Amino acid sequence: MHLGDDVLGINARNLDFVYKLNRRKYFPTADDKLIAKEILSAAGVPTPPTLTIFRSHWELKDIEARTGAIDGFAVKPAQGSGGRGILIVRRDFAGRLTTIGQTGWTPFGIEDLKTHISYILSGLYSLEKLSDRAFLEQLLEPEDILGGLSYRGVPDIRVIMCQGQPAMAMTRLPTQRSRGRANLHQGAFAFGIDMETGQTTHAVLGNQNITRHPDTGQPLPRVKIPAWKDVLEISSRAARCVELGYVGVDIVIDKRLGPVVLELNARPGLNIQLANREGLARKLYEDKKP
Amino acid sequence: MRTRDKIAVLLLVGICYSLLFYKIHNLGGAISRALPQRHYELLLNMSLTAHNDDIQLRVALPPQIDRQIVREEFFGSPEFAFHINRDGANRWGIWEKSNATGYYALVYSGTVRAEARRYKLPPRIDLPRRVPAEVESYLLPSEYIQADSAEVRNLFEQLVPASDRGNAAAVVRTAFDYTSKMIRTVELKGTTDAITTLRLGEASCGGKSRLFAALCRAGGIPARLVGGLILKDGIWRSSHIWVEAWIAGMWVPFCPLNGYFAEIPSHYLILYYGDQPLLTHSADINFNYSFHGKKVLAPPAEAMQAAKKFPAGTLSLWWAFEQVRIPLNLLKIILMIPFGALVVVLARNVVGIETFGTFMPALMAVAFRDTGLAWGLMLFLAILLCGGIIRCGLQWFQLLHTPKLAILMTATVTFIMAAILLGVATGQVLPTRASTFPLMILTLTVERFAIIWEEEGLGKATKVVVGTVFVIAGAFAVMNWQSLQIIVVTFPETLLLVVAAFVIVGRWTGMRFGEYMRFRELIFRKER
Repeated sequence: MHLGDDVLGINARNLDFVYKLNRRKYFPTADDKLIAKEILSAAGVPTPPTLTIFRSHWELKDIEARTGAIDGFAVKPAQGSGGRGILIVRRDFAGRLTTIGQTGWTPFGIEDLKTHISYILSGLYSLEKLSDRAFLEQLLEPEDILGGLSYRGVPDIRVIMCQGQPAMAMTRLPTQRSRGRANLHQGAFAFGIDMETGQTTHAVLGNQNITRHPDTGQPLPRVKIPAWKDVLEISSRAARCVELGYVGVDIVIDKRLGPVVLELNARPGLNIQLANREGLARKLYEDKKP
Repeated sequence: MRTRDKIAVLLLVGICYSLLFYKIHNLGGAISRALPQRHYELLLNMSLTAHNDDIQLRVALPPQIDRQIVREEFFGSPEFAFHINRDGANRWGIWEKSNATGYYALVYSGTVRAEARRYKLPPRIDLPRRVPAEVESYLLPSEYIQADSAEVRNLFEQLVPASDRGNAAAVVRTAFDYTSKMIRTVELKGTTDAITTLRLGEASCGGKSRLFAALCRAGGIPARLVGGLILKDGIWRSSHIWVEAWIAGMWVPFCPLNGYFAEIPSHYLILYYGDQPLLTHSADINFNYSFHGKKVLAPPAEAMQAAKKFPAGTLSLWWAFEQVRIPLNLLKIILMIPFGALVVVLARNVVGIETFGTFMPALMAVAFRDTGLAWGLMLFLAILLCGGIIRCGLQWFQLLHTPKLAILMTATVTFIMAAILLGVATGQVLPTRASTFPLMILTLTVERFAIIWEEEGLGKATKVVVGTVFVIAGAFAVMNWQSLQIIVVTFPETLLLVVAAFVIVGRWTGMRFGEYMRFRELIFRKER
């Protein structure tokens, strides 16, 4: 066997899976979170409720009226990638807006929110796009098992679906450094998941193996993902209804809603291999054979 | 690779080679005469300040002789009367103005090419029995070449054995060895004559050349001083002096300072013959000057004529460009850009280096052609850092995206102006050429740098900067590789090979080098 034969590199991922299995015209269904949510909801796949959508700058003038009644929400660019531009906002006891900073919930005025949304609308977080839409999404409340290991934000589960089969999964947990966001390159850490049992395996932070929690220093326990069968089932349904042969499905297990699909990714990252200490290549190439 | 990829690559390579074969077959030996050659763009900047004076300035201009070609000359002298005085092969540019007051800047520029010449002297050459009238004066002693003085004669007799005195080859060899090896090389200001050089035992180019000429004349060989420049990329002030001796009926060059015996290299540009100053000017005018040189590729003069006769698709590209007054240099830049892109593609898809923007490194490398790599990178990094800091400050104002970008662009314009002023203030010409930097690309790079800094930390941002700098340097090196430029400009078909390379890399599914690092644990664990 050649060196690294089992590890999937980005060139092979693009040529043999992303370009081959995903038709260009279906890319927007994954790249645009609003379109994805629409398609998923239509097919009966649970997604977090969208509270309001901003399509242009002039809509910002009644932002106070549109957010006044909401206690907590996530601001997202429809076409952002890699978690860029996502902010989690919550009202504190006095009704002031706050967001997650390095040291905890920090004040976040309506002006800050306006600026942030206007950046989203200008396409700042959606590379090579000149404009975008921003939407507010109901803030999810993670169930206790994964939520207890996270710093304030919402942990999620990434399942790689290849031609209808779940190929590999991990769970990503926000840390203090990632400021509540569940993206690995922003400092979140990840557990690999045993596909059969839903049991977490190894943990990585960046490209490093870890055995202790990056914030608390406590030894990391092995946990069983709640409702694991449902997670896999929802992933399969999500992948099926967007007609993408190779897709990363991001799922959050909400306290009240249960597993919901947060977003889809037509070019899912490769660090999932590090979290599982296993290469994707053999598995995927074998699956592809008839 | 799939069959269609292989066919595409084979077709591209095949077409390229057929075209090459066709051209070489048709042109035959004419190709070597048609290849672009290294020329120098030479610029002489002069400045002076006058106080109601009558001013005259005399400057030696490179003569058109068989070993050197001078073209596209320009005499920038808006307020001065200018004419050229010829004496023999020498050309003197004369600038004149009466009742001049204030500061004046004068410019001479031209494109020059000189050839190396090497002469093989037989071991025995008879002294010239009779010399032509115009050579005769170079046998006589002159003010600084005291060939008849007792000291020079003594030295000559001491150095050259009586048996060798009738042999010109032996005389120049001995005189050359003595002046180039026995006289120490030092930097001396002013004119050092032959006797002073002999007494001190040390001299610079002028002193060595005068003593060499004096010894030649003492031995009956006509010898004359040659003044000129050592061409290079950059800025300098000092001119150079060497010698030509009349041997076997021709002038043979010698440079005792740099050890060229019967040889003149291609970076020596002759400006004038005779023991005289390169530049003379009226007194008390605070005169200043500097030479600027830049290597450029240009087609040989005869090739442009020949190009018209060749069938379409051969050398007509140059010819077509020349018709619309687009210089070869621009053609070269355009044709080299795909090679810059090749460096970018390899760096991204094979090595796995992250950069700001996809082709930004190749475009920056084009801009650095003018400033040079070192200055270019320094200015680039300075702009990135200052821009990043300004953008951090702008966050405080919470501006809309496009106006904020416009402010960053204005800041970038200001930095470029500052670089130009810095260049003017320090007399460095390279930073002043930053005006060709691509503004919008720099601005977007600053923006991306700041976003990565903010979102993923300074470590990651630094990593991308380092990656970008490496790829710029790589693209710069490839695009300025002169042998490659000559091949590409003469045979633009080679671009088909680049396209073939793009197809191959575009279908390559191997791991990037960076991924071997990233997944090393998985990879090397499997090996055990």
